[in-house]
Amino acid sequence: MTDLERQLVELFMSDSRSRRVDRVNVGARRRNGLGSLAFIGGVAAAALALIVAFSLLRGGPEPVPASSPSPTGSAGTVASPGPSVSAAPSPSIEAVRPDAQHGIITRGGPGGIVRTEANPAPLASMWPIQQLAVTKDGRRVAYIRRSFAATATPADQLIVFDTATPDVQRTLIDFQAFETTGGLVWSSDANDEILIEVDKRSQTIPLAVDFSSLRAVNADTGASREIARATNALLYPIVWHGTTNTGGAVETGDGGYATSYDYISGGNLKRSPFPQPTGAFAISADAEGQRVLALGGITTPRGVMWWPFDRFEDKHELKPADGWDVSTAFWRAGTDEIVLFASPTTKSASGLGPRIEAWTTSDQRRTVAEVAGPLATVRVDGTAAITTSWNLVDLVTGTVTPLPAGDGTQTPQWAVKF
Amino acid sequence: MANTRPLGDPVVRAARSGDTRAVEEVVRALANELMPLASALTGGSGDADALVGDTVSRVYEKLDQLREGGAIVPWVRRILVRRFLDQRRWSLRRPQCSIEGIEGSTSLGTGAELVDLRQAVGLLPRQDRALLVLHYWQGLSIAECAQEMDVPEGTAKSRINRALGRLRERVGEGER
Repeated sequence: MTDLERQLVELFMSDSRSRRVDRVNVGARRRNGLGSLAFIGGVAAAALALIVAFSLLRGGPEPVPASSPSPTGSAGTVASPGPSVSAAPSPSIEAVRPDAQHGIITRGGPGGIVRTEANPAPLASMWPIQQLAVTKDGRRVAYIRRSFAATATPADQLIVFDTATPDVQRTLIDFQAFETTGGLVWSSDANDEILIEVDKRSQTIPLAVDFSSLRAVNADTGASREIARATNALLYPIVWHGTTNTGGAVETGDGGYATSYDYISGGNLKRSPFPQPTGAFAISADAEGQRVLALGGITTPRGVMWWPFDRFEDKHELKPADGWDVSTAFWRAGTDEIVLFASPTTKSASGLGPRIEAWTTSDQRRTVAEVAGPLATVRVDGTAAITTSWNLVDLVTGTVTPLPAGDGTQTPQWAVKF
Repeated sequence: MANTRPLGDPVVRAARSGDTRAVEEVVRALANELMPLASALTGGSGDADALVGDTVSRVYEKLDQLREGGAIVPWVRRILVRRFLDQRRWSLRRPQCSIEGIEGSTSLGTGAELVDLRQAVGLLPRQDRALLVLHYWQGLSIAECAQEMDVPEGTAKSRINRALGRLRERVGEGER
């Protein structure tokens, strides 16, 4: 941490303590909470309207935590805004429920916890988390811990653990003081490697980096080897196949947007520029590491684009219906589907609420369920999605089941398996 | 990192059912929770009172929607940051709740360096200031800052770097 950064911490600390609440004046309640059933319905509608209105104002949804009667709908009962196929499930299908075999890693402030879906009690905690990645089977976790000790420069550590023993966390690498890490992904094949971005901070030019590199790290021994290096952009790993030394990364330029997709093979980067700047954080690969998905564009409405990890030129674009925007998207493991959170953006979509949709790569679309909060993650087996407002959404039946949120300080971020 | 103190379920439940004292307790608890962040964002000024008042007003208006154990604190924190970014909206709005703040246990840092730095931070765009507070004082990662402010992670990173660069120019860290 530089002198300036330390002074900033001191300044904000001082400012934050300089004022405290003396008196609170609460206005008259506009309505009584013990209203009629009709009123409850009104509240639900108003909540929906507020969410939509806020989305319009902000260009993005602001979830209401654990909102009252979630405007849920089962698949097939909600009109899909786009070209759609029937999603009506067989009545005999039993909806997935929160259980102890599926887990969640949450974020709360700089740290997070490991827990089961069914029980909010922490099985282990992590503090602080900088970046995190989960294996395709959901049973191994790697994360970057960055400490901002008051007297030292940021120090990054690569930590790994198995979900069977989440409290046994092992430091795999202590990075050098001049190294900063970026994203990381697990290898999609069975060789237990982690591909991680490490950049070397310039010792002479403030805020600059000398180069950005991708390193493959053995998750058992910590041994690493450099795979590729860039000197004029920051790399962000997306997919890795350790046995063939192939993968994909994006390059980010000014403003942090991904400017190109780089196919990695034999240590070489084959660059393919994006048609429009795309947020690097919104690019991910499927569990098998064969297809890459990007939530595209800076301006709304945003669509998605997918391509084989080794052939960007075969990319396919899928756009939302008129009046709709998509804000989060994940591959659904074991299927051909992309799971998205879609929200109405114009009056033409009024009357319809934000929802989870599933689009196939060949653009068959179905509405899964209406939900208030955006998607947080999808179970590693692809059976259900988890929303930031702590709902478990069965991706076949559309059944929405509230998850226990715990003490209210945590937000679901990653799915794991025990 | 500011502590987050979850509101107890019974209080939220009572507030939702219209119990006036419970409503006040919820609003007060949230105000106490938010004041340090608001003070850091506004440079320890009295603007923090209005910002907190506006934010808890929004919660107050939506009490009926809150279910016990909900993620209230992270939610209101996000609202506060967004209200801070959109000064026009919160300063022109008549809040349902008002907060009267007083000087806290620690007065504003008055060392020459901090005074210069506070001035320099005050000249930054609100979004940059919010990012610095969230990252350096709240301890949020770049990714969390980006999520909190609804911008891409790379944008958050570059804005923080740019803001630090501007501060360096203004307070002359490089010369020390």
